[in-house]
Amino acid sequence: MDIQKIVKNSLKLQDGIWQSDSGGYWSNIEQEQMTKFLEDLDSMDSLAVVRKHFPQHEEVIFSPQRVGGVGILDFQPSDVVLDAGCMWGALAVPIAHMGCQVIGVDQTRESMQLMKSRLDEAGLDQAQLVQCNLNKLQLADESIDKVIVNGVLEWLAEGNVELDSFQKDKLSKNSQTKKADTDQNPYDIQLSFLKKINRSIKKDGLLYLAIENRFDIINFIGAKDPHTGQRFITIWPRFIQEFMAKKFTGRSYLTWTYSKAELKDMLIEAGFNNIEFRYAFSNYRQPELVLTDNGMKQCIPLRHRTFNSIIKKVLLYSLETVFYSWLRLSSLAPAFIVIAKKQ
Amino acid sequence: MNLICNASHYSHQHTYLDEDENGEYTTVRKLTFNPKGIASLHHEVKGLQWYAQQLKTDVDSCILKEDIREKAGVIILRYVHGETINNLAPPQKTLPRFESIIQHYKTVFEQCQFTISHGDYSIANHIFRGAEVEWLVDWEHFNSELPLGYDLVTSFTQPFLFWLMHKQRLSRKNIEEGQYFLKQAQKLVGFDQSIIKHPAKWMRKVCIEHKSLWGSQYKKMPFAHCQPTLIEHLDSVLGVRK
Repeated sequence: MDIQKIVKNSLKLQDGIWQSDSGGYWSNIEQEQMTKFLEDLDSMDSLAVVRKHFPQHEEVIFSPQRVGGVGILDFQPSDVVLDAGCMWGALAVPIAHMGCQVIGVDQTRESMQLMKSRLDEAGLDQAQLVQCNLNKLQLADESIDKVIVNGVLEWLAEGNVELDSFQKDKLSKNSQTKKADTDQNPYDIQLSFLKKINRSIKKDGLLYLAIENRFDIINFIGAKDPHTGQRFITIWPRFIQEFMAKKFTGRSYLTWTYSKAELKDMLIEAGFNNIEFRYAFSNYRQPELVLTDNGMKQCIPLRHRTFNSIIKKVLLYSLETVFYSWLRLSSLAPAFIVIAKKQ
Repeated sequence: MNLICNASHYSHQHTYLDEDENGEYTTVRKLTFNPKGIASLHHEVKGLQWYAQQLKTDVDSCILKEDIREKAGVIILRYVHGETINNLAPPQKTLPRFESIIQHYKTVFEQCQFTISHGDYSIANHIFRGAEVEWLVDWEHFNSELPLGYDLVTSFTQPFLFWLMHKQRLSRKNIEEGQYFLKQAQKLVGFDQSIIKHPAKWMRKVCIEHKSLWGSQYKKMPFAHCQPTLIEHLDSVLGVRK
């Protein structure tokens, strides 16, 4: 695979990672903690390094459950697969095991260095890594079979993010980390990205898009938004979201998520004409169930198990039983996994 | 396609059900994205091939596709319609099925003198049509290493373990039924009678001795990891003294 025929940005190969002229930082881990982590990566294997420095993230990086959602796709060894926002390689590395030609793109070099170690350890030499800001990524038309956008779309309007401090932030430094080009609203940024993806996939290619549902049933009872840490924010009209975000965090609300109808409309506007929805329970990151509308008959309550409080257990169990198992209201599912094709 | 069983931290296999345009399930897809799951797929295929031969069924109608690559793979199996009963179902649902479980075991395994094992012959892996066993699924632990009687002792002991774990009320009749089938299993297979005096302890011993057989799934085996007091309690309840 000739990467420069697919990624049209000006690229330079540096220590096995293609470097564009745009980068950034998005991670669960503070950037200053990464230095020792990267030093150890030279002498230890990737799993050992994560266990030493960030054991709390071992599961999200290495668990085989991470790739449950993409298993609904049929991967052929001849496929060119782009993982947009690949981060640590939780999806890209398993997909590379399938024999596919994988292109992992991420703005955070540190994450990609771990992913490179994982690929080298597994002997997977058919993957290429590109450090590039996704909003500045340029792709050749009709060059990719499958594009994976897993928990990324909602972050496109944000700039650099260190997730812990981002979620705890009140009125402080993160207002400096907003992207410079936020004269566009998040919808326009996300739509522009989706249009770019649409142009880049082949006629019979597809987009795999995983994202939280704005109207997840638990958002109505005050569950924290996993992006901003705020309660109730996703369910309000946009102007109220903006007011709440400015009041409590001092910055704009940029991590827009959508309802099923809104997401479908956006994908149609981006040029996708064949759109299938699946519903991920209890989340898309490590789904236990990924169901079609018809498959909702298989849905069972799951999220009550993560709580110790009897009241929360009973409440969640009841809500999920009524809305998912009995009424089969997929529009209130925790997350969407969308397969979108041009035709 | 619906994902109905995602890989856990112990297994590396994902299970999907494919639907037709009417929403009826037609095939089961088992997929692994890493080399650790490939052995499971191979065992599954071997087990199903053997099983189909025993039942004089066309193998190609059971295993529709096998695409196991160097580091990942997928197999596609025929979906068998019927009723399934999970390990936590109450006694009134589970115990009436014991007769058909032992009959099916006799049909399939007698020809090899019971020297081959399914490896996870629990009620949850049986598909029933009415009162009869229609099909047996999940052959990933198919082997010829386990001792005589392991499969049937699993069938008749495991539900009781889960009932005791979850403090399910058991009547004297429930217990007598369990003991009756353990005795029937011993008569059929011919394993040592002492096993049914302490079936839980024996199950634990076998699980631990054959740790390598289970691979990464050993960590979730209930007999290997439950409290020793529960094992003793189960033997005191279910063990056959006469």
